Amino acid sequence: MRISKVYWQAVFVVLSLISLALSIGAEASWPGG
Amino acid sequence: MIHILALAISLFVAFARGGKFRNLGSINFRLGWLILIAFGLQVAIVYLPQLGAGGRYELPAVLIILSYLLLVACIIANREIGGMKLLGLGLALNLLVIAANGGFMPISPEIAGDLGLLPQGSEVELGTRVARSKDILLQPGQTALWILSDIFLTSRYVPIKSVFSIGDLVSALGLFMTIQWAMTPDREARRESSSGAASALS
Repeated sequence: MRISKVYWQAVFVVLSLISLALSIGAEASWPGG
Repeated sequence: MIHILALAISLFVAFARGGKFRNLGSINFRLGWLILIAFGLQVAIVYLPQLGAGGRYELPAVLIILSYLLLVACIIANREIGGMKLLGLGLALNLLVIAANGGFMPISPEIAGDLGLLPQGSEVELGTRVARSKDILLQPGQTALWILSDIFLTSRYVPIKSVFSIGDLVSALGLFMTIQWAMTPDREARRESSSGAASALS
């Protein structure tokens, strides 16, 4: 099954957003809790 | 923890509102590589003893502040994306308290002990770093901008115990809003109406 380019871009955006939020966050037991 | 939770809840809510995952792929996300550098730098400082050794006002502290400045540039470049301003506010709050306390997020020994973050049976020395975190042990009385530090504990109904700051909470909310903004039909409608208006003008 071929995954379209837009889905890969969506995965990249989600990974970027979660990396951004985790980099901003400073919870104890960083990064995931 | 709260960021992972915010992401999971936001994806669930967005799908429930008729959102589509592929809509995330149409965001024009700029300077994403800065995030990778900042995140990589922070992981290295937290997990690599060679690079991470050092306390307040030393090299790791400076590198943490530098990583936050890279994130500031990325957020400014993407300020038109919904929720990004809240992410920026969360960043500013965490950066303020981190910079005011020598480059690390303050946490009290009591809270760190409750969470099991301190080695058992050893003396706690104030000003030392908490393992596997960006935190440093400081009593509330010694902490500049204490209200912005790691003082909130997750609810007992949440399976993983953690402590977080106001900045963490605001940035988690920003992450939630960004996913909603990007995935839901409202944005599709806005995009279609704007392209319709553009073609009508041409």
